[in-house]
Amino acid sequence: MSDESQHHAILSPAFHADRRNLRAMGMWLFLGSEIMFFTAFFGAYIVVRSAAVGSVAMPLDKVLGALNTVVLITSSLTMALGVMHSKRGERKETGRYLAATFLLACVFLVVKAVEYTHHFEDGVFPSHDVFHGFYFLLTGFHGVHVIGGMIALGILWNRNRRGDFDEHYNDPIEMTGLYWHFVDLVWIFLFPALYLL
Amino acid sequence: MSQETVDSVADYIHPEATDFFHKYVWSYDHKIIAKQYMWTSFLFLILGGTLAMLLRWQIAYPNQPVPVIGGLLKSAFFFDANGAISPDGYLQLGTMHGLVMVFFVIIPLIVGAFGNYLIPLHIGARDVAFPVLNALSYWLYLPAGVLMFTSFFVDKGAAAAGWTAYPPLSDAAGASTPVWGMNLVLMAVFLAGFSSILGGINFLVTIVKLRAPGMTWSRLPLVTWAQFITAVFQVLATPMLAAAGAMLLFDRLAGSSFFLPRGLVVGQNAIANTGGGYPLLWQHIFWFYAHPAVYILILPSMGFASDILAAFSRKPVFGYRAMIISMASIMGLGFIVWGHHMFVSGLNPVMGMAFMVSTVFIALPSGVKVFNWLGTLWGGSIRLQPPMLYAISFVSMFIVGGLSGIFMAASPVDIYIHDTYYIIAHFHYVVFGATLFSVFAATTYWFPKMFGRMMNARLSYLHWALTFLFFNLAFFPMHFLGEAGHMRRLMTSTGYEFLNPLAPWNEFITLAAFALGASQLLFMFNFIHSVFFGAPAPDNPWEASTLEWTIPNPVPHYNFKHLPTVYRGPHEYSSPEAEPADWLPQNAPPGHGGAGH
Amino acid sequence: MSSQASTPQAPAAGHGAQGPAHWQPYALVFGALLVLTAVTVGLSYVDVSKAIGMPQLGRAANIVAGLLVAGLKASLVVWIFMHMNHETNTNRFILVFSLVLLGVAFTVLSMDFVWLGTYAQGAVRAALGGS
Repeated sequence: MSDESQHHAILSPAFHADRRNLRAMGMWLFLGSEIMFFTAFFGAYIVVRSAAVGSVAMPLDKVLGALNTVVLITSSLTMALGVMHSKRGERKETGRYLAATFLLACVFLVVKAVEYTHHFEDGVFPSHDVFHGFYFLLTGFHGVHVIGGMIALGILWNRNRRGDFDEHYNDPIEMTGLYWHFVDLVWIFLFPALYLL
Repeated sequence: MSQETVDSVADYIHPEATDFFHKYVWSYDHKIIAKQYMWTSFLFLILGGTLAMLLRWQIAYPNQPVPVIGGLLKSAFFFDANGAISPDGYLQLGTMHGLVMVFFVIIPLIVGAFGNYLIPLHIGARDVAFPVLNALSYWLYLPAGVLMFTSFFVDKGAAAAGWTAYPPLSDAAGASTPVWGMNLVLMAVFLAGFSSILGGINFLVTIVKLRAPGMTWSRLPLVTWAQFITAVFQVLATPMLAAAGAMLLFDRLAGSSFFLPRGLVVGQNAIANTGGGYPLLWQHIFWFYAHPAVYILILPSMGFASDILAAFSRKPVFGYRAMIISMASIMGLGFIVWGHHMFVSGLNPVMGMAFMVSTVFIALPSGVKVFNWLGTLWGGSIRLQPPMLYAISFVSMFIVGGLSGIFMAASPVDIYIHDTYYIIAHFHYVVFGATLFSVFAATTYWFPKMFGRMMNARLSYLHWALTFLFFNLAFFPMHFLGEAGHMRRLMTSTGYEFLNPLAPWNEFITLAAFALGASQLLFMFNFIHSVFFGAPAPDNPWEASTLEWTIPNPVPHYNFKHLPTVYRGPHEYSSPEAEPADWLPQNAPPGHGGAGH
Repeated sequence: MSSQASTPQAPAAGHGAQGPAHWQPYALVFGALLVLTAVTVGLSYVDVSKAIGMPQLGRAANIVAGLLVAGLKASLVVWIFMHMNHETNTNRFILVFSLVLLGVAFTVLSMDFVWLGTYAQGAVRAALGGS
């Protein structure tokens, strides 16, 4: 083993597999921390909402909410397929599915923007009542996480286009996939909690 | 050199940085990042300590102008027109002292500095799992710290609602809270928290995945075990703080009302807010984090003390396995005791009882550790060098701090002593008396490895003696003050007749505190001077057995030329197999008795 | 676990936590998720407590039903999309432990505030003369 710096070390497939496992554990830990982050919001929401269980009429547009749910679920599918193709080293398909995921995320944000605009036009802001405070808090932070995911997807799409990935080295895509599915998971609970129940 | 194929992350060596920027500013080397944390934390320690000195002046000499500085800074920052501390200024000082010490001194020091430096060396790795993330963690922490202090410069000053930032005081417009100061502080803490979470993830993956061959879980130094448990808290508890801070910022900036009820009246003014929220909600979310935070503050220092006591007693730690089980119990219980900070807040009394039970239970593992430290010392061949002296004081002051904690755990007692100086005495004994002394121990112990030089032993002895003396003089009387009913966060006690007899104590404590602060100059001088002019250190001045002492000073950027194979536990002192030497390094193969490289 | 020194072996493509090599499992899960979304939206128009013959539950039944469906959707996403079916026990434990903490937080918060709502606020109101 050389004691000089390995400027030109060749990273074998075994190295990439090993590093993928380290990064997977790191990503699951990060997702654990994200679960705890949203736990505080959801927990607080439960407390406040349950104080008014019988009385709250659903002030949100269920159709737009359901549409966004379908959009995100579809984006999870395209993300999973993108990861699958990257594991096979299939650059073109990977790029297509990454782009599809990105575009679906854009659709999600557009729908959300439409909803927010309707609220603002009606004079409904976080200060309107505590329910809307939670609505903007939860969807706002979820939206921030969507935007973060989109930035990652954009970077990945570009790196994929440049040929950075192959069937051995593709864990950034896989890790972003885990993050993206988590973003979908939060919405899977957000949608019923805010829109339906 | 010909190209090499690297088959695992553990084998990989980062290219060594060549230019100043990549060597000392944006470095991926855990040892450099550790030193960055160390210097920055020591700087914040000086600043945070100064805030405390100003507090103590006001308490002892109410409304008297502060000498020198007060004259220069009349009406600026926390000074009133006469150069004395103003009421808002007093609250700012107390709040910022707490926040700076917890988030910008202790955690970065024991986790960011020592954790970073030691973990890879202790497990036989070349660096942490995610070196880029490591650099990012430091570069989130430093700007966060700067942001904290900029809050002093904005209109109405820094945060002033206590480090616990309870609403409505921290929340409602119309309460006397500074506006942008509080917002900046919340953002700074959010950034520091993010740094902490990323660091915790890094250390967990490092310890689980990058241990050298033969470094099983039961051969890890206790420093590493302690950092592991600490990292669990960092990753899973800190996000609650981030969420609480986000909700508070939302209340303050977006007009929501998560923590403000309807019909809130502050002073004579009804606060116009949406209502529907609960102040108690903040307390639950905040303390869900802040209680595990105090375990973050103590566990690494317990780790340092354990390994240092073993090395200087020339004995294995008594009850190594029990130590690990204790730390694991603290990890499990540490998440379910937070309500003991809320006994008098209006918490459901049944929940109060449940939290009392869990809190009393969590004292047990700490007690086990104390007995094990004493057992380590018992019958040992004691070498009373500076690290050992600090480590023994750690144990004694942890006992005092822990005992006062037992009283607080009992909710009937806590109803009386909550928010008094008794509480202040308790946490200063565990955070200053225990943790900071352990930091002194760790600094003097690992200084030779970090900087290739020895710290001056005489100065260390003198620093130890003065700090130990003045620390106890300053903080032990606070137990009595608390029992007498002296409230905390009180700017002046002269308004309360029943506190008048205690005024001499307040002055006594302040004088001891000033002497305590002055004594730290010795340490600062010793540290800085020794970095540049200290006596060159041998590779293993303490004849210690853990892996970091098997490599030369200065430690090369790749740590280990060949990844070590570990055959033994971390405390092979006075092992018969080692004769004629009295210790064996962890990587000494079986049957090759005797110490040495 | 600790770094295996040596046999350089990449796992065969498509095995292990890298995930299934075929698209069919993903498509199936996708279909199931769409169906479950429709179910949960549909349930929100129905009084579940009456439907199961226990009207005394009121809205609570709807809430439980909605959360069960969401939980089922989440489980599918975690198990298949996130490849938890092939993940290490360590990573599974991380997820489980986080969920346990989530449960602790929810439980304590709910219990405290149910008490607050039931007893404390009532006492305060009574003391203020039933306002």
